[in-house]
Amino acid sequence: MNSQAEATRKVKVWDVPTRLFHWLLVVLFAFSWWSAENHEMEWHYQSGILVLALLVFRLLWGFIGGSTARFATFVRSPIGVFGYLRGKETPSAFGHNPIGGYSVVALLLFLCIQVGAGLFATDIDGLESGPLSHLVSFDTGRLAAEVHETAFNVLLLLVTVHVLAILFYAVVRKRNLLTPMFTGETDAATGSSDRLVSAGWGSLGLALVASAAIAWWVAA
Amino acid sequence: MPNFRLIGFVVAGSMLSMPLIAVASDPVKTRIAGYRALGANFKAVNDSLRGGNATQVQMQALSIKIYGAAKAQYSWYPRGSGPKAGIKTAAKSEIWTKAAAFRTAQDIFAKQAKAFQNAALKNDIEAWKTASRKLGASCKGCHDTFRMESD
Repeated sequence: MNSQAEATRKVKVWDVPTRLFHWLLVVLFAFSWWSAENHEMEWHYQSGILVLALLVFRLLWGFIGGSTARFATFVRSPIGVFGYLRGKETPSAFGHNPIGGYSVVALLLFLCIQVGAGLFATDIDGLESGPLSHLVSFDTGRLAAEVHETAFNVLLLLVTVHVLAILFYAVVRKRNLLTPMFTGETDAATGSSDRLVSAGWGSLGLALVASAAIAWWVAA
Repeated sequence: MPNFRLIGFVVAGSMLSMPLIAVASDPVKTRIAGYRALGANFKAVNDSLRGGNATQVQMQALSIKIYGAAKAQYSWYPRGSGPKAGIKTAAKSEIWTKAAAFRTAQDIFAKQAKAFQNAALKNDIEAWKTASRKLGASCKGCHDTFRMESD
């Protein structure tokens, strides 16, 4: 194989479940925002329950999913992150880089806070409430609503940083991170043997059933 | 000879009660406390109705409290208790500039609160749900015009 062919060789980096999770989350996040702003609370609840299912799925997929989706693969030690920032260490850029990994963790963490608080939140009139708000007092429900709102603002900030980072890589580093999240494929680095190790159907079935069961239980 | 002990008790009692009187006479704080209690009662109604475990005793007790708030709210908006520097309130100035329209909205709320209380006299969960929905709508109808945007 000549060097040009090697440079343009494509390899799988993101599996289908990870990509579906990502884009469904984008759509549902935007829809949840829209529905809350327009007081379409029934739609907001349905959207929130779907986001909950997605989150449960992604957390499980972080342990039993494809190799690039696993937390063990992309959550590096702080020493590794500083090394990456100083350019002294060059860990594989396959999948999430060390900083991107922490960005994913932060996004997932605040999404969990956002959705978790929303389940218990109640509005100031006691008219609209999350599906588990009957388990808490009015004051606790109001506190949950405040956490829900604060977490949303933090998420907006994290999403902005996420998008800016993608633009930075596109403009400064000349590296397209967006297309692989659609196609699942990226350019193979010269001489690299990195590749996605897909999870089995059993893992996928387990994650789907568990996430659907938890979302159903909460909604019911 | 004056009873110094009695005078001392009266003075001390007066001083201790001053903060309480100050809180009670603050119309904004009174209003907020009233609406928080109303919100808690309405949440209890909705939680029970959604959970399918509402009882007539519970609905009657809550409807009495809600109707009590509906009557009390007529005194919660004295002139001068609107938005101004240093005062945190969600009440819009339209409450006082469109006083007649606001009074109508208050009347609608009081009417629906009474209707909910009447519904609670019957052991009929569908009647409670219907009356509760109308009561909630009367709250929203007023908030859309007379309350600043809130979550």
